[in-house]
Amino acid sequence: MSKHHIKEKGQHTMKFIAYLITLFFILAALFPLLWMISSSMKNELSITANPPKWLPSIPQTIQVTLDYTGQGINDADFYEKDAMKAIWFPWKMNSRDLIGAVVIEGVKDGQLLYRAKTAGYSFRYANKFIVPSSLFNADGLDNKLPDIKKQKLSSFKWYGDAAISNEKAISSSDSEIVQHFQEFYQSTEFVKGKPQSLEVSRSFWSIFDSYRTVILMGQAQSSNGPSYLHYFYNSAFVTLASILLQLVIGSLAAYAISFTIRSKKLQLWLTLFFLATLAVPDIVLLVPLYLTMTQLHLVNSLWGVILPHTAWGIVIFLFKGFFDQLPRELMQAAEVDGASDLRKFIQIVLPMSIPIFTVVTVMVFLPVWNEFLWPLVISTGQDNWTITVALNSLQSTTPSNIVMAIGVLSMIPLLIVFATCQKYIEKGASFTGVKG
Amino acid sequence: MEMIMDTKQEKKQKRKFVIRWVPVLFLTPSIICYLLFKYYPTIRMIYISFFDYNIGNPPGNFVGLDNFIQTLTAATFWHAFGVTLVFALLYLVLTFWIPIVQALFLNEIHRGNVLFRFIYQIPAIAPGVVTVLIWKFMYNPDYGVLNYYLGKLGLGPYLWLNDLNVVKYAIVLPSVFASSGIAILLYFSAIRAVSTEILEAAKMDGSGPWRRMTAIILPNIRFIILIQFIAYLTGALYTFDNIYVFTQGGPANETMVASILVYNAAFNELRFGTASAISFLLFILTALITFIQLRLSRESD
Repeated sequence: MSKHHIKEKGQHTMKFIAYLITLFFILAALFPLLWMISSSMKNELSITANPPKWLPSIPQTIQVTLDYTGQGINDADFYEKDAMKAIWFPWKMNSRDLIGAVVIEGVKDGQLLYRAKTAGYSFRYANKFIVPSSLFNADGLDNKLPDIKKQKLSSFKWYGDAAISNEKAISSSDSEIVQHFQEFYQSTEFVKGKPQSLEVSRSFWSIFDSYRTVILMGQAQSSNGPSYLHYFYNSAFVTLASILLQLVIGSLAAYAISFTIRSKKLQLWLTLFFLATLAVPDIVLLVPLYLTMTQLHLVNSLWGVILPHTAWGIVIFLFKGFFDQLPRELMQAAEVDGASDLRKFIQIVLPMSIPIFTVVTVMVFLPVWNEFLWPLVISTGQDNWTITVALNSLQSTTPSNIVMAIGVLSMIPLLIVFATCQKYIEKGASFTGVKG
Repeated sequence: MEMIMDTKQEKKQKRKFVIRWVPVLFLTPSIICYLLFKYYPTIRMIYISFFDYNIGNPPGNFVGLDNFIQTLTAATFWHAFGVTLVFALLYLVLTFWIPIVQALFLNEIHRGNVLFRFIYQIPAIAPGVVTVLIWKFMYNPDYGVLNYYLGKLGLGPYLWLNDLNVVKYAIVLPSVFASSGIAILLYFSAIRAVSTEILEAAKMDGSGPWRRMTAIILPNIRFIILIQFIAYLTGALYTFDNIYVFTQGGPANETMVASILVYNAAFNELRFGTASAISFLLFILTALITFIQLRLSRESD
């Protein structure tokens, strides 16, 4: 038999073609995703580069040493303002350069006074607000200093009292970015310190700046709405609450139908009552459901998104299908012992039903996390946007690299759930085959 | 044994006439939720469709069949209906067969099968909005990656979403790439369920792997293909997310499908009565499809 198997005609070509086709489809499926990941690691400039590049280029860190020898003032505030000017102004002038971070060190008589640093993600996130135009105004930046401190846009560390010696040769690398900065310090009067040395180095971690913007940055302007993470919290809350409600409400109803109701006719009618709703697509009920929610005063609240999920026929279908297959002997034994229905449910049915609870959890998680139309309609206020609604609204106002980073982040929970529960999803898929 | 138990129980019930509180208690939350979020809105949709709905003072003026007459005589409705059918057709022709082919060939692969199944699922579990945004980014006429690579092949440049002749294909194309996820799993498990005895017998009769695929496996999974076909058709007829995020029905209403028409009528123009009337017409269409579906599955049994 096995000999025959090996010899069989067409076996090898079939295998070859099967691998070829599968690889083709898999590459086609992964292509957009890989491009998304690659794009999320670029910045606002390189993302629109033509020709497009698959590997993001690595930005550079500029380290500037400013010399304050001869400067009489010894007040940290004065130097902080000076450092901020030395960072934000030249960077704004050269915002088309690929800069990952700017570090300024102030020295006086060979001793380190301060070290200030601004990372690329802070700059790109806040520069429109901190330095609105390249017609610079020193007082304007002074006024923004509280905002810089509050949102931790630039770090500033004062060493003036500690007397750390810092002897550095006067040097300057000749890269283009350095020249741009050099020009600025020499041609303007904003910065009081004299540039002593300018050096560049590669800052590898800056390719994750989009992610750092999404995760770390709060609101740059108060009118800008909630932080990006807020939308993730909303999605997580909606998804978890929906899962919990569906597990409790759905399993109780399915238990009641398949264990406590003896009349076959009543069982059938109840099942039909729940499952008939599956035939009505969401879009048909969109408008009346919205109007129902206005009557319930649930428009523009997360509960307005969550509660309609409690009426998903597929959940009761899954639970009932599983409960119907459970052996009845244990239940009958418990009945003889006089156990109450609640006790039977908790002590006998629940422990046997862990697989179906997992299936339902996963089958609810994916569509609720990805849901778009209903949250779009019901969450009118920005505070209540879920991540999908936020992405749709942000697409025109937010740089593409940030949108792509949010997209990648929004997939992580799905991938984790899917990777750990692939078995259950495949099981659930075959259960729900009819629904597709 | 069960029969005896049942009749005993029935006798008991007849004798006592007690309401058993536990089932009532267990079922009440679900029944309330379904009534509130499914049945009440359905009835309300039909009711509202006879009104010039006023959200400040519901339900507003009774207008009889005006909403339906207006909808059915408006060019926009029939245009949207036509666009919806074209989209459904495009989805069916361009993407319906893909998971079948993928599953058929996946069945021939033994090494790495679980991994391949996993990778096939990744684009399908990604939020639809995210997929659309990636593609929108790739479609960008100025710096999009697609125009660049097609340009290397001497094609394009295309305006994609702004070109009236291309936009429909541009919206369907991501589904060609992304595979339909769960559908692969369904076909795959159906193929695995084809009895090995038949396959072995065919092998003994000298039919090769290609013939087995076309003459035995395919006919054996035709029922699941049929069910999927109807589910897919329904999905394609009511598709909203993709098209809305891509174009919001534009350019020049070229992609204005029925679902976006409902959305716009209600939430942009605040004509809830008209929106309900269109919804009701879609509801009738759904009922028709469901009826056909039931008839078909009864015949297949």
